[in-house]
Amino acid sequence: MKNHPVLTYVVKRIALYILTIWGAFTIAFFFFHSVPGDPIGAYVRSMEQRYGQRIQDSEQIIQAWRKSMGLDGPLWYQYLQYLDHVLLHFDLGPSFVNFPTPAQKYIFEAMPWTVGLLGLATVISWVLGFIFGGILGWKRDSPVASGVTGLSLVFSQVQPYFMALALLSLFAWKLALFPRRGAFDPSIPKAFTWQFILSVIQHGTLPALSLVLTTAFGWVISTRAMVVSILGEDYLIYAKAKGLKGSAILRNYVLRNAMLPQITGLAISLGFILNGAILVETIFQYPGMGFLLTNSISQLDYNTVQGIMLLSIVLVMTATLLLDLLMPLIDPRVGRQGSA
Amino acid sequence: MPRKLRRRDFLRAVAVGTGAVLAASCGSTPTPATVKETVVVPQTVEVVKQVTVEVTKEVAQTVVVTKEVPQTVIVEKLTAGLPTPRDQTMVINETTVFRIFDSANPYAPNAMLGSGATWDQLMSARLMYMNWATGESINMLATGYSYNADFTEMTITTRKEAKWNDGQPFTAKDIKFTVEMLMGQPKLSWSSTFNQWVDSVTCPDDYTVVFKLKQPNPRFHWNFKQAWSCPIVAQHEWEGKDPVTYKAFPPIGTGPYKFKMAVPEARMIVVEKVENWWGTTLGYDPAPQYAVWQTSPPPDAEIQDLADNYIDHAHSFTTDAKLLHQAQTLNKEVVLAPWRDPCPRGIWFNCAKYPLSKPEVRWAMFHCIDKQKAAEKLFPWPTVPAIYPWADWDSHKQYERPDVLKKYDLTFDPQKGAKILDDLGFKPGSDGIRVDDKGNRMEYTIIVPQVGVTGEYPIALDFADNLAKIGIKASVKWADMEVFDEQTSTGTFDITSHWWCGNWQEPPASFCDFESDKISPVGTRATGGGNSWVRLSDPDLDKVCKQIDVMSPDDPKIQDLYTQAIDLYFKLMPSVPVVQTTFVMPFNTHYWKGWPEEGNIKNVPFTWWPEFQFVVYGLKKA
Repeated sequence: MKNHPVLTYVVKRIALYILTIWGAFTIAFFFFHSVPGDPIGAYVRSMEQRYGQRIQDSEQIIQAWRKSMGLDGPLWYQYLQYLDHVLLHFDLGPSFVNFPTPAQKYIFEAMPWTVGLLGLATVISWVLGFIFGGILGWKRDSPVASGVTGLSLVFSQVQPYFMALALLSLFAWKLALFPRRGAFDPSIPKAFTWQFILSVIQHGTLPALSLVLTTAFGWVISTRAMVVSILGEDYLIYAKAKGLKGSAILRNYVLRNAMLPQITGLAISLGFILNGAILVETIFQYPGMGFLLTNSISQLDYNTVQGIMLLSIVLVMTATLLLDLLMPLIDPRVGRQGSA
Repeated sequence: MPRKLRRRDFLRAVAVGTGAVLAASCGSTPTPATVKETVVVPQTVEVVKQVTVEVTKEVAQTVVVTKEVPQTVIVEKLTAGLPTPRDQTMVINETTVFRIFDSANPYAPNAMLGSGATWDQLMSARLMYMNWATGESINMLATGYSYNADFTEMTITTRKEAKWNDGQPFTAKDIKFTVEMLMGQPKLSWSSTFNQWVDSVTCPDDYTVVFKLKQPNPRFHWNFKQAWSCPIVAQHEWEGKDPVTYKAFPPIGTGPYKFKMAVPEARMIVVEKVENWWGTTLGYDPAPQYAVWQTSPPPDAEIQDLADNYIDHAHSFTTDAKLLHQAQTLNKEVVLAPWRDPCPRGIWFNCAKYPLSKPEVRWAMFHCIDKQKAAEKLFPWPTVPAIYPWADWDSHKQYERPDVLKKYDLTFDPQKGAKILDDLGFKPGSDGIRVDDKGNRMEYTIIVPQVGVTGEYPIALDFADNLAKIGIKASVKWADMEVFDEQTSTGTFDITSHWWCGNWQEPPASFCDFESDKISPVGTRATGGGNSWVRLSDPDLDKVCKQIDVMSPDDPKIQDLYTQAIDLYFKLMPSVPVVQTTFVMPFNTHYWKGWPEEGNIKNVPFTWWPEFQFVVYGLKKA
């Protein structure tokens, strides 16, 4: 191993990756299970009240359902049982909200919508923010750039849900150009057809715009700041002295150096998309992970929430790992430092 | 030699990939013209398909057509959110977040399609119903019931023309099968009830079922007549299945509608009329060909949907006076149907915790509850104070006892409360907080279930303010429903502010939940059912309730027992009914007429109740 520094680096990173996932998940498991409340007991009570029943043996019913849901026994036992199900059987357990449907069914139903919507919105906002942020930094002395920077600062503080309401009000309610909610037109059969795809795009436009129009300005500000700090570097003075064109300097020296931290930020942002954009999804009734997560938390649907947490942790950690492994390809200095 | 991946290659690949994603997303975004095209086509699915065939060729043509279409029509056509023609569809919103679309098991927890939406109202006819608005009994699958002289046997006769929606006849054997199936599986709802009471079930013929009871019970029929009474399932479908895990999907019911489709992504369930439904012989023939139940969007969006005739009922602001009036302003075709929930909102005391276990202390606190203010200002829709712990429906007037009320001082006056505490010797300490005779500071937490959105929290805050005036420190806390249940059920709470739900059919019988033998020790879950979690114990009430338990509600002698029970309730005051709970149901008359509205409510207008089907039977095409 001593002779293979890259291999050592990779092995160490993967070991850390696995350890971090286990640690994060364990903390999340015990944290969530320490939340007071008993979902089964609440269900039986609501059944009593709604149906006017007088359940004399409610404790017996509660215990029986706890066992079915994997909620019986001490907490450490539940934890081991859960790890066993997840690791050895890839089974997140039944959803309490729709027994006995496995929790992963819900998660995998919601995931494509969120990944499609947020993944695309995140990438688009990053690209737009990076390009315009770079230009604003490069032209930092122009009055237009100053004005746009000021506006960007303002818009970067606008929350996506506010933008969502504004877009909804204008484009869906007033102008009736876009659908008000949902992920597609229910009158169109779900299939890989142009009709269905167009409907999905049409329904996803406003939610995606509300995310792009707000998060892109954040990328603009951070990229601009990065570029401005780079502009004082000696190598740029040297590049100018060499007589290189401004566009070449911007493209090959400024943006390239500004890109590294921004790519790290993008990777982390992509990792977090699994949590969904809760408020935007709620406003547009978009069937994504954010809506599923809040709904599952409110109903103490342990298995679904734990499944989402587990996937989210894995995704964030995997994005970080991939970034660490790919960084030497993007920035040669990283490789050299690693092997030094 | 394989070519080494270079940094430049990698960056190029990333750039090309990003560009491709951008191009795909931008290129495929529909233009407004495309949307307009969707607008102008007729409301049939077939025509919508034309939109996607040659979008670019059609644009110019459709723009011209769009100019000829009034704006209001454009808005309505954009209700493409529906998979059925809007003018043939009744669209009902519901605040419950629907998550179950592939199961219709009515007995396992959380296993019923849409948490019961469409099943309870339209797909499952029950044996009998009550019209709570008029007090009228309605026989549906059953033609009647009777008891033997000592109430140990009950017979139900069923309707010969009743059928399941798969064409099979509904018979008494389905009832016998359902009850025996439930008795055999204690994890299911209704199981413990039937196991408690039923000794055996027999069917002398296809249309008669006889229940032999383990002990006299003159109220056993309510299991098949109350709101959300026990649903009967088809023997030919369920036989041989594990009733705990069987999904019974799509559901086979006896109601006027059958399952058509579910759109989980839109949290929508669609049902359609059963052709030649047997119930039409009873005069029940619903007008809408389809019914859609879907999860409500946030109130701001939902009110716009109601204004634009997307929906026939909005559900997210049924107690918000401002939004309700705004809905009528935006759409003149919206009518409002206010109706009392069966559960008034109230304050409950933990009667197992000293000194709250003393009736005098509870009465002292009673005088700190400003019911008038709660009704007029704290409840989100103006209502009236609650005197008795049940809804003030006309059908409940018979249970009121003004003579009993005269015996008690029911005024709001904190100083009267202070005097009671002074008389008990519970004097204020150095910090102004009273201390009881055992040295406990009178300091309490009032918990409010977080699902409550109908004034429970402000009522609790006002109550706490008034308690502070007489030297009792109270803090108010939200509690998630699960936490609330845990604390109340195990007796580890002080005071609550929430609903007062008892026995709707026979309100004074609600007090029999307080019988001493139903009390569980503090720290263990209350298993006595109903409101036994409050842990009140009183030998006089026990004596009265034991007589009520075995006496028919039709027996004239029970009236005196009711009076005694009501008297004891007021004497003991384990809970205080504060306000009548009014929900206001907004309905849209644009597509359907005949909705209940203020001054003309002949059926309960609550869309989540099984009895809502009788509202649907009264609808006509606008």
